[in-house]
Amino acid sequence: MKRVLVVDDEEGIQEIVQSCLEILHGWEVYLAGSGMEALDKAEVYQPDVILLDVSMPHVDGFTTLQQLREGSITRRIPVILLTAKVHPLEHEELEKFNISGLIAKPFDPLKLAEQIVAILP
Amino acid sequence: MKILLIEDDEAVATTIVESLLAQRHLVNTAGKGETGLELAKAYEYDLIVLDVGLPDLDGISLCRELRAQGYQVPILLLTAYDSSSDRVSGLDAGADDYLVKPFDLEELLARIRALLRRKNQALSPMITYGALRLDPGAKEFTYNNTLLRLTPKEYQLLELFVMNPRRVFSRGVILDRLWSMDEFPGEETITAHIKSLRQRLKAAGAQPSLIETVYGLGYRLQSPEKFESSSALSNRSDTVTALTASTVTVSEDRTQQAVIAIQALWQKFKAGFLAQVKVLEEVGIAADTNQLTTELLYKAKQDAHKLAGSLGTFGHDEGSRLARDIEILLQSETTLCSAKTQFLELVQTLHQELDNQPSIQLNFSQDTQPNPLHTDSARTKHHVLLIDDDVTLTQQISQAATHWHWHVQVASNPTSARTLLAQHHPDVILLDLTFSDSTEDGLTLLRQLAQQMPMIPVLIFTGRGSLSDRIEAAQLGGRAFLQKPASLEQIFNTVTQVLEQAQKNEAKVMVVDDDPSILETIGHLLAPWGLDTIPLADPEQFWEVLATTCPDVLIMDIEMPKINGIQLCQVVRNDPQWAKLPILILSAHTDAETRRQVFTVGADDYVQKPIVEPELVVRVINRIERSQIHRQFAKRLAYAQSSASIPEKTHEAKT
Repeated sequence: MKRVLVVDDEEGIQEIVQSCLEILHGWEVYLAGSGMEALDKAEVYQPDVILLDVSMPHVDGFTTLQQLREGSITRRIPVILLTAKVHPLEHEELEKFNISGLIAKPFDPLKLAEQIVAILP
Repeated sequence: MKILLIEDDEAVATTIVESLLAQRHLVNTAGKGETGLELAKAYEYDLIVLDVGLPDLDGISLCRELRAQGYQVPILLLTAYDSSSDRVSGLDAGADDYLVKPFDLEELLARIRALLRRKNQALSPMITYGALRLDPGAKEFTYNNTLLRLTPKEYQLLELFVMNPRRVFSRGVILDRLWSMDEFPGEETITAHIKSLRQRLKAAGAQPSLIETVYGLGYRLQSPEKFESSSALSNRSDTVTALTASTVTVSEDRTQQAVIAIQALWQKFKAGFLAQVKVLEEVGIAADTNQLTTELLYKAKQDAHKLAGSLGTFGHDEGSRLARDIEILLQSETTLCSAKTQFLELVQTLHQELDNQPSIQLNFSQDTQPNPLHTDSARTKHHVLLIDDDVTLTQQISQAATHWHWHVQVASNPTSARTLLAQHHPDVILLDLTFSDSTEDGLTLLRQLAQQMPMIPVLIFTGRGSLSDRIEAAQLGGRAFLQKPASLEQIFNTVTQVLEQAQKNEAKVMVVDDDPSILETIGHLLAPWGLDTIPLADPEQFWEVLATTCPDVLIMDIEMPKINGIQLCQVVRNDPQWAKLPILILSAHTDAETRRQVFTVGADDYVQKPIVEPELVVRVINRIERSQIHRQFAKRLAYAQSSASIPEKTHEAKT
C-alpha cells in the first residue's frame, strides 16, 4: 500500500524502520543513507512519503529538503522529518519547507506506521 | 543463502564474491548475460546481483526476460553512475533495487540483506524455533542460549532447515542448495554432515531428532508443535492489535515477528553503539587530562546526538535519556570541563545500560501508556537527584532504583548538585543538610532551589532533626522531611508521596465542544499523560468555568451553536489575565482561510478533526511546556519580590 523512502545515515535506524514497516504492514521501504542518495531515489521510486533525518553528515536534512523541493518530480512528495533535536521546530520552519509533519527520535518502531498515517491519512 | 552474481568485470566480481563468502553465502558467478540466464533458470537461487553493462545480453533485458517468465527471485542491479535512465528502466524491468558503481561493499551487503529479508519475511532477523535460535546478522545459532559451534556447511544446512521449517529436503536438493557446481560431493556427504550437525545439537542439549529423517524422502526440521512456543513475547503481542480508529490493525504474529526483528537488530547494531559510547569515554578522559581536541569534541557531540535519537527506538529509552544528558554537557568545552566527573558517571551509566537487554515490550507495552512521541513528557521513569555525601547510602538507593523505576543521579555536595541541576531538572530532589567535603549547608541550596526551581519538589533527608531545622526546611519550601536512618522502603514511600503530590498539580486542559463524544475522547486521550480535562459542552458557561478552573490550556471547537470558537478565542485574548493562555482550535476544515482566521484571532495552534491521538497529545504538551516555563518564571519573580522584604538569616554549618 504505502511506499516509504527512509533517509537516515544510521544503518540501524534504516533497518529497524524497514523491518517494522515491512513486517507489520507490508509497506515497501526504500533506503537512502545520504542526502544525495535520497534525491536520486526519491526521483526514481517516487515514494508516497519520505522520512528524512534532520541531522546527517555532509548534506544535512534541510539542504536535502530544499533540493527535493526544487525537483520537478520530488517537490510533490510529502516529507516527514525525523528529529532528535531537543527543541521542536517552529511552525514557520515547517511551513517554509512544506513539511507534512515531525516524528521525534527516538520513536516507537512498532507504532511508526500509526504516526505516519496520523500525519498523512 | 545462494546468490548468483552476473558481472563481466573480473576484479569487481572477485571482490563481491569474497565478501559474500565471508558472509557465509554461496555464490555462483557468470561473466556473460546468456550464461547468467541459463544458471538462473537451471538452479534455485535466493538472490541475483546483476550488472547492467554486460557484453552480450545487457542486464536490463535479462531482468525483463526473467520477470516475463514469472521469475520471483529478488534482483539487485549494479549500474553505472551517470546513467539514470538505466536505473529507471531497470526498475521498470522488474529489478528490486539498484546500486550505483562504484559502490561501498558494506552497502552492497546491507542491500542484499534487506532484499533477502524482504523476499522472505520469516527471514527477518533472529528466528526462534523452540529453544533453537538463529541470528542471521551474526550468523550464529544458539540452543537454549548456548552457542552452537558449527562449521560453515553445518551452519548453512541448519539455516536451510530453519528457513523452510516444514519442507522436506532430499539429499539432491541439499547438494544443489549448499554446494556449488564445481564441487561434486556424493550424497553420502550429506549424510555425514547431518550426522555431525545432530551431534552438535545433542552436545548443546537438543534432541537429535530435531532434524528428522523422513524415510525415503530426505530431512526436515521436527514439526514446530513439538516445541514449546516462545512465551517471552506473548504479553507484547496483544497490545498493538487494538489501534485507534483510523489506523492500521496488525496481527499478533506480525507484531511478534517485528519485536523479534527489533531485538535481533539490537544485537546486530549494539557493537556500533558501544563504539560510539567509547568515543564519549575517550572525551571524558581527554577532558580530565586536558587533552581535548576540537575534532574529538565534535565527534563526541555527534555520537551523543545519534545515540540520543536511536537508543530509544531499539527499546533503550533510558539510554536515549542518558545520551541526551551527555549531549547537553558536550555543548561546549567549558560546560564539559566544569562537569567532568558527572560526565564520566553518565557515560559509565550509559555503558552499563547498553549491557541490559532492551525492554521493548515494557516500554511500549500498553496503548494507554504515553508513547515516546514526545521525548520529555513520555518518561515513565522518575528522575531523582540525590544530594548526599554518604556513599553507602547513595549506592543502596541507586541499586534499588532500577526496581523502583527511578533514574538516580548523585551529587556529593551542593556545588556538584548545582552543576547537575544546570544541565537537567529532576522530578524530585533528596537533599542532605550537611556535607563532609563542603562547608556549605544544605539549607542554602534549598533556599536557592525554592527561588530558582520552585516546580521541583525537595525532600530533606538528613541526620539532623531538630525542630528548628524542620521549621526552617518547611519555610524554605521543603516538601517533606525524612530523618536518617531510614529504610529503603521509607525512602521509596516518601518520595512516591511527594511525587504524587507534585503530579496533582499537573496541567489542566479545558475543552469546549458541543459534541459530548469529542469531550470524552479528548479526556480519554489526555488522561494517561497526567492531564486533567475540564469538559464543557455549553459555550454559554464558558467564562464562569474558565475563571473558576484556571486551566493551563484551552481547546475549542470552531463550529458550535450560538457562539463559535473563533469568537470565544477573541474574547479570551481581549482579557489581559488570559492573554497568554495557550489556545488550540479544533476544526474539520483544513482550508487556508480557516487556518488564517484561527491564527489571526490569537489561537496558538490548530488541530484537525477527526482527532488523531499522537498529534493532539504532542500539540497540547508542547503548549503546556511553553506556558509552564512562563509560569515558573512568574513564580520565581513573585518569590524574589516577597523574600526581598524579609531580612536574610545567616546559617552556620551545624555539625
